[in-house]
Amino acid sequence: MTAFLELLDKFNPKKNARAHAVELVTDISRRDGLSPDAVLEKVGASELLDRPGHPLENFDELVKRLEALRHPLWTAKKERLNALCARLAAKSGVTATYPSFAEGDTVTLTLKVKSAADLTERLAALDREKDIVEKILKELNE
Amino acid sequence: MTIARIVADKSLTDLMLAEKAAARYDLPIERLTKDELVAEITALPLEERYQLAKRTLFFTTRKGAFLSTCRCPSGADYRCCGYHTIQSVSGCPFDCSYCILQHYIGNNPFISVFTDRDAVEAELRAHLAKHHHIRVGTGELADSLALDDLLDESGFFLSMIARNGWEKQVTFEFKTKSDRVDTLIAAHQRHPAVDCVAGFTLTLDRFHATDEIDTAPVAARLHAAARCAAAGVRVAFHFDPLVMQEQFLDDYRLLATQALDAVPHEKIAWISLGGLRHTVSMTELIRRRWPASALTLGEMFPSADDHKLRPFAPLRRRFYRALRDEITDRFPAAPLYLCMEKEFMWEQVGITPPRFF
Repeated sequence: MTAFLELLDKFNPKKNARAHAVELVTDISRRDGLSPDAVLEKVGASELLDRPGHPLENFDELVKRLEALRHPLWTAKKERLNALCARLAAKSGVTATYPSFAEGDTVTLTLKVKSAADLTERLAALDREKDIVEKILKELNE
Repeated sequence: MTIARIVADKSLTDLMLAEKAAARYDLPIERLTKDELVAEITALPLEERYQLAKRTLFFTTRKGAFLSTCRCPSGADYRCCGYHTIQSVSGCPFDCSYCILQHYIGNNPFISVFTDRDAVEAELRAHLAKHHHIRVGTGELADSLALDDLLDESGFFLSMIARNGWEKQVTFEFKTKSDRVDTLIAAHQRHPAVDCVAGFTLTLDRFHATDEIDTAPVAARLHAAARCAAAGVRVAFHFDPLVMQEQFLDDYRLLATQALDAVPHEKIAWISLGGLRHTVSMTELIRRRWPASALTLGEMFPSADDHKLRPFAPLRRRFYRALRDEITDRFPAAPLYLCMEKEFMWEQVGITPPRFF
């Protein structure tokens, strides 16, 4: 068994999760011309293995880091979109949902109300913060 | 590419095409049912199966209709170009890493040639009774011209159109990754009024070598396109599948300029752009059969409607815009369209559908 597989197995991952991680490492390795061991080093696998906590939680973190490395464009866009959505929610109480993988040009806005007065207040808040909605839409179009 | 086996369905009575093939390749005609042939081929180890299946011609009759619409997912927000396909042949001697035909290895792995193609005439007539025009081609489940010197599909369909006086009602495209245009050019010369189009799928040289086995090199395809245009045949270019990884964008730009330099622009019927798209199970197949292929290394995600993996939307937008600019800078009136893309992508890219949409 190669070193990178031995390292992955030290996390005791479930079979499917392990296969997914191997696929991610292999793809990144081929795409970037790195050895699988170098890929794992890049995402700090050894450090995660030694980290306190349940090995499976650490394995989840490892997969998350590998996915970010495998899909850098989507990871970056998701972070920007999530930050904007969180800002909108904090300032207006309105939840913005963008299409999966930015596959679309519309955003769904959801607001919860329990009275007509609530609705007026939410809509006024949304109106004040519409520049954030505009930024989300712009992000989807870039 | 050499044909290694000629098989005619046991129930087939019209052996004319099978005999022609047998004479061409100096092979005997074997008589088997489809099930018997499938059983023989599927008994082989997987990779041998592919190799033999792609060299086996199976002459039979078609069970269903020949004419169908193209494959935009119905009910979703895709802008369909209204293209129709005729499945007179199913299977292809070329071996492309991203080709859906690889999935047919279990039940229809060989090249099936449907000898009852005369039936297309009635189907087209029925269609034209309800519609004033049809844009149609044979290149969905087969390469239109890979075997044209043997099957003379171009001669067959152009003659059918001329015989019925459908010159203004039918635009017929022969879509290919080959450079085998002699038979088509000869057919066009016999029927110059028929609106036929030679459609060339264009790819980067690097993928021709690794992912499109036995197809013609890109330069040869462009040379064939130039020959068609010089002979009066309109030409189409299909930049599809575009492998949308940043490092390939400049090469695609260059390819677009090479294509536009190869033929007079007034001879270009249409140009399509389409990102690589495939089912999740194709990813597995590509990894297994094509371990050196770079096609699966891009950022691709599943679409909600057809569950196919497509390149990340912003990346598609970037590639489409860049190619649109490259093409329209040289050919402002280029009849461009996107293949299997939703309304939002068309709008964001800024391509207006050509008149035939």
